[in-house]
Amino acid sequence: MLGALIIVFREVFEAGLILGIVLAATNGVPKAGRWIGMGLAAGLAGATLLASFVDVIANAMQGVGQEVFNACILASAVLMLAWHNIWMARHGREMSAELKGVGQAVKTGNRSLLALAVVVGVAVLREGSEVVLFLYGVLIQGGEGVSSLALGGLLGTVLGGCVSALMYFGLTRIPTRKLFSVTTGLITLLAAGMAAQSVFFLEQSGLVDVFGTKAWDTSTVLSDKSILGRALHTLVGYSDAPTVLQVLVYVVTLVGLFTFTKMMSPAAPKFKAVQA
Amino acid sequence: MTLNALKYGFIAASLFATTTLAAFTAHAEDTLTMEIVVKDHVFSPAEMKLPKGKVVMLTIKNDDPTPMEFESKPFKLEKPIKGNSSAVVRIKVPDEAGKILFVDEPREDKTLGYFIVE
Repeated sequence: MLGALIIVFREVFEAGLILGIVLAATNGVPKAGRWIGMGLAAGLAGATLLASFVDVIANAMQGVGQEVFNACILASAVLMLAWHNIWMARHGREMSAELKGVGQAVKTGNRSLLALAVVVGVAVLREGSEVVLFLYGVLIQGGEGVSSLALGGLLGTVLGGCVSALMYFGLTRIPTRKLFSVTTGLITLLAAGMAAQSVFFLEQSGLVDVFGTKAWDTSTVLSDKSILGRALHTLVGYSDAPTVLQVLVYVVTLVGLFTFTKMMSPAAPKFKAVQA
Repeated sequence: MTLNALKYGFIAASLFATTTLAAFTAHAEDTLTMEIVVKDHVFSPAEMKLPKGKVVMLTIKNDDPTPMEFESKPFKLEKPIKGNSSAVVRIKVPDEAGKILFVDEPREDKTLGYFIVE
């Protein structure tokens, strides 16, 4: 049971943090829960599918299929987060402050929610497929009964859910006015970390081989495999031994997205045109 | 404007993909291929010599019915592998000699081995 619990919690942890942030970021947005729930469900379904095709994906593209796949889904998550941030910068303020043109806002808001639903789905997909694979492993290895396995898996998931809840309730204690800038900041950091991680996978696959020297090595100080290291890895993109390219991409994404969000955030909202 | 940004982003991404694919084909000849087998949760060979500075495509053959995850923290390798199947990892061997641990993550205390970089 403990084996299953640890495996599940280890994987659910990261997705749990992301889910908490996304829930807080969409706090008060109509229908947000439904969209995020759909992202969650799609992620779970995808994870099961992915686990059964893991060998097919792994052996695609001369054996680097899994790395390329990971890089692609992370890159798409970065795009979705960027889109959400920019959309919220333009419409979020008027939506929460004036409730003007709510009909319009909800319509376009759905697209932004779709973006975040994709992010949640992707997070669950990535972590979930490993959970499915390993629980299957524990199961066929014998020794542990199905009920004990199920209990361990369930407890691990519940603990992961607690991480989400802590993140969500922690964040929503922040006054609404400030919450918006806090979640925008968190999502920017999340996106930068994912962009760097996407580069990591491209480097692993050998597709990218520039600026590949280690920027630093702090694995003895804080390993990115420890629980704190993992949390920081998810939240701010911490890596204990990144390449120069990963650091560059991280900084460019961070600064770029920050600047772009600022630019798109009107001091006094003049235009209400629907954006694609 | 967002649409434009997405459009340019897409164009940039496509260009990026094309150039990296070109770089990939150019690098393909410098690589060595090696193989390691896992049977009854034991790596063989348990110590694997890697030449300094080379790129090694290492095939991991999992002959057990259980899935595994080949992992080497110092080399930042993580690869889930189904039972009775195999997968490839790409290792950029560093220029310094050393002994580097690799494990099957779910059984990391028992199923382990070392890369010897020389």
